[in-house]
Amino acid sequence: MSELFEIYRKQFVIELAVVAQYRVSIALWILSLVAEPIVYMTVWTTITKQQGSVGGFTGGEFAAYYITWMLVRHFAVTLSPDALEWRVRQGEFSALLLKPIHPVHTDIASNIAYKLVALPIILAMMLGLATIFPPTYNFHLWSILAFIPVMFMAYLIRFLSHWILGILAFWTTRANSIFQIFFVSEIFLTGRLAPLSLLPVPIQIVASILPFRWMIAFPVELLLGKVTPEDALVGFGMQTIWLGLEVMLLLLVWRAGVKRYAAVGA
Amino acid sequence: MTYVRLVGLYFKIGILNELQYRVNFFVQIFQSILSLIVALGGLAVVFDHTTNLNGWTSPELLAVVGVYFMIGGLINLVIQPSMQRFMEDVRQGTLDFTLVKPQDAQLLVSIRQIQIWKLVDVLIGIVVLGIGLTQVGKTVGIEQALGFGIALIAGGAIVYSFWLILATCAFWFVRIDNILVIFESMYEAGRWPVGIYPGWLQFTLTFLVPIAFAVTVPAEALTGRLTPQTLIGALALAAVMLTVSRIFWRIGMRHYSGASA
Repeated sequence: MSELFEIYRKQFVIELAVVAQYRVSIALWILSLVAEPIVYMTVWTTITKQQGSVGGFTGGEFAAYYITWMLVRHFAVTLSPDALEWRVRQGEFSALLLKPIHPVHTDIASNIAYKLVALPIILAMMLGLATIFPPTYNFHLWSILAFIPVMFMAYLIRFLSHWILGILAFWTTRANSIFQIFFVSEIFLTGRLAPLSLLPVPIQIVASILPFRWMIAFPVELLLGKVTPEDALVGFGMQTIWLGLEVMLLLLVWRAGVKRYAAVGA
Repeated sequence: MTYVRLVGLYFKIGILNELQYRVNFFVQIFQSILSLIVALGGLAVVFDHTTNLNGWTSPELLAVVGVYFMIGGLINLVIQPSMQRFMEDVRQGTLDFTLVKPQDAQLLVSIRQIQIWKLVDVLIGIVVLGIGLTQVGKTVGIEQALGFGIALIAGGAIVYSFWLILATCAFWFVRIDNILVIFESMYEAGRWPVGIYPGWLQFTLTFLVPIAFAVTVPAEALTGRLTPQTLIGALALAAVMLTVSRIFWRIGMRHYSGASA
């Protein structure tokens, strides 16, 4: 266990150096991510200006929702499945397979390093948005504390689902279409387009049974104080179940996939 | 006249090139349908909770989505791929091959790469626009149709000049792909009429990243909201942008030293 910790620590230092090299690229890339929440925030606040509130959300609450969403979205950033597909196609997995450690660990470590480096930029943008769209928050101490483990679980669930999707590239060269279906589902089912409670009930149920709600929407709702302690426990339970399922799936798919892997290139 | 022939020729080459990869056609249809689902799903959720968005009804916004697809399709058909190839050429030094051709280099660079399957998006846009307009119920008069045509051409010219100016920066900064990513994410904002955004963002979307003129203004023309002032403004801006981008291109060319060999 301490060995694994040491590997994470080392990988973390390496990644910090790598990330620091591409500061400008990262800043620009993050800037491109703000457009989406601003668009949806504007659409919803426009409607609240017309009719007071929408589905129990006031203008200030929509602002709070999307500003929090930005933070959660940042913490939930994963290695994109396209990057994994690229590794399979270019034969880059060959080098990773030689290492005596599962490649997910290095990916998770580098992910976390990236998040820490980019966090100040995100916080600055959240502050900026908060001055333009004044949010109404009503925090609870317990929900902020509960947010930490819930967010970590949410990240792992999203990370593993993208990782598993990515290594489907071992079997098909058109895995990209599958990724896209998944991404479109994320738009509707993770609370991006609108808070989940504004969607039709059947869609809410689908989002709660599948892992989607637990990847982003749930931590956002929790931090906003929209979840009761009981529901938070149930949610954490769902997260545990999905994480367990995904770990098992990963082991299965990985073992079968590596057998099929015929390295291309050097 | 030579220019028209040249454009036609490059289109033919583009089509022949893409016909080698026919599966891409189905991939494109698949992608277009997914983005259509996102756009229509968004409208459906919003209009589940209200009957109008800042004065726009749901069929009118459907028309906006139609224009959004049409213009987006046109950008991805020729402007974006050509400009990306141009920037790559500057980086690699292969722009030399274009410069030695006995025609205007700006024209050649602007039409060189054509992704013919993006026409699917243009077609989807036209269909969605048609459905939206029939649901609006008001007949589109000649005046509106004319305004739409002019606004569309002006918007196209503005977007083209904008891309050319950005791409020309490659002469100085070599790597600017990330700026283009920002444009793509900003273009998403064009799915909604720019009038709903706060003032500073409206300004950005109108003058810094000119999406308003490309999508909202043509849509306004069709739904009878366009004032003559806006139309004249669009034309004036198009003329200014075309001139500025031309001058900028000239200055940039002087900085190109070739990187090959």
